[in-house]
Amino acid sequence: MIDEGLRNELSKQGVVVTGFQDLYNWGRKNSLWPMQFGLACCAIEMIATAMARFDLSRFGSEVFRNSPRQSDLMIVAGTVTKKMAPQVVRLYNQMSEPKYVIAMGACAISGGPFKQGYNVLKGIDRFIPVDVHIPGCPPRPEALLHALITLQEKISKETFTGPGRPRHLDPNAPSEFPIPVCGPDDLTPPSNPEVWRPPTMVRED
Amino acid sequence: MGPQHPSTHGVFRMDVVLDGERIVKLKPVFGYLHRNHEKIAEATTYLGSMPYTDRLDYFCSITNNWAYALAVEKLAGLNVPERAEYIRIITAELTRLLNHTCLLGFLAQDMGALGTPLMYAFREREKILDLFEALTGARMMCNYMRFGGCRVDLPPGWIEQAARVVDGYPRFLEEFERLLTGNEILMARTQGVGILPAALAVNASITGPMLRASGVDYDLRKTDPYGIYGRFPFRVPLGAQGDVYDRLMIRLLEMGESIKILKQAIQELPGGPIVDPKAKLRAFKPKAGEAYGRIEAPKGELGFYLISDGSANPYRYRVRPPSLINLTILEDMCLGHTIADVVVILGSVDIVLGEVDR
Repeated sequence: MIDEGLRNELSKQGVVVTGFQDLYNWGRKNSLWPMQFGLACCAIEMIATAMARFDLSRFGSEVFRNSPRQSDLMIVAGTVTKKMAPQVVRLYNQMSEPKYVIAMGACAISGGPFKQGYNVLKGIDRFIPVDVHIPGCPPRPEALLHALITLQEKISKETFTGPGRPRHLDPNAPSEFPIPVCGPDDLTPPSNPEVWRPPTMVRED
Repeated sequence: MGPQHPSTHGVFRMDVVLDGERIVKLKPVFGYLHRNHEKIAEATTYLGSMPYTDRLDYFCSITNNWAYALAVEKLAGLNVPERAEYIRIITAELTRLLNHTCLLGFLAQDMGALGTPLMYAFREREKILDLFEALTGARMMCNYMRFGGCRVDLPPGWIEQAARVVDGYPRFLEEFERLLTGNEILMARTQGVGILPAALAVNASITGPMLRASGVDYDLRKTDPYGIYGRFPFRVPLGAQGDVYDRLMIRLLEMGESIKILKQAIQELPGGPIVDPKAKLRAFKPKAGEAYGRIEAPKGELGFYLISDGSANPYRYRVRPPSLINLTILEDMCLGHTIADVVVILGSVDIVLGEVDR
């Protein structure tokens, strides 16, 4: 680990001293390829983010890919119904590692205004790991840009080793997530316990 | 094909049987975005389901509001003040501009014109969204109409800004027309593709620009004028063949007519109250009965059918969605064409899955 003062001194002289890990993270965080994958209303705002006014290209993420094989960022934009959830998980499994998920909008986070409906999934984070949640219905394009910057910060802090390393560097972590099946009255399983642990309510009497 | 496909405009699936590249059979599969809109509305109050109407057709939230408000106003016998009627027309016609602009951008995108037309369309969309944001606080889910009027009055300077946007619009239309309609590739991809005969369109209860592209003169703003549409002189453009090209042109021409209405409405906008003083927002319980309110939404006839039993929430609530009904004849239009044409034909139907599946 290089001394911080020496690093600053060297950078004043025009010499950049960095580690392989930082270089690796810097390269990856600035070249995220989102998947062109919209579910509902939020998808329109996602498209608007890529258009002229908000200009997603400034963050190196303008390459919306149509194929999950070519993309490493899934923006779950919109309501996930129980009929659509298996397809979302399957697409996530098909994406190349390392991959990230942004849950965009109230519906993708929790079911949103349609939560009481029998057919709406109460949050996609029950089945796939979500890195950044954006509240809003629909969130403004600026909110999506902010989520992207948050994700970039998260990527830049990733380490190669240690207990906090990301999933794709952990040989014991699952590489695929089980695809739920539409059962007689609900998805089976209704959630993936490896991803989603419901918060335990602590009551102070 | 689908439900995840870049050109199905959302989560829409088609079961397609192919002979080489030709379509032999096509069955649309709906329901990937079914969000229980109607049942949720029956469980909430009349006002409580107003925000859900925004999320039906998420391009045109204000016209959805209007259709629902009309149905409730009929049910409860409310009157709308003059100023509110004008504001409703201004916002609804702006929504029509917005919807048609975005649709044309997406349609060009479906034909493989990646980027440019959609960029232009979304540039114009942002101008209208700025207006909506100043008026309602939201960009897309403009929950603006109320029973017997509108929610808030226009903020200061709004009408001047709206006038500027409307005055600048013909220039964009001209630019867009130059970009698209004379284009050789576009003509080859759209002319004679996906022909919808007038008789079939009428029998399948197709409405909106799609019906008028087949040459049937039916526009609810003329045949069953709601609001104060009777006071505005405008033309209903008609197509001849009913192919994709006609459907595209109809939308361009309709935008021109909307601009005429907008210019007149902005000029004549009167003062006064914006909501009927009789209208109650809380504890709103209309008398038992039924009502059907319908408007000419940008996509066709949007209707809300309500049955009241005198309680605070509707006994039955049903939406007549133009997108779903316009989609039912997809197979007839697609048979014999190639899979690449299906993408264009589907794009020209103008669907929004929030409204198809509800």
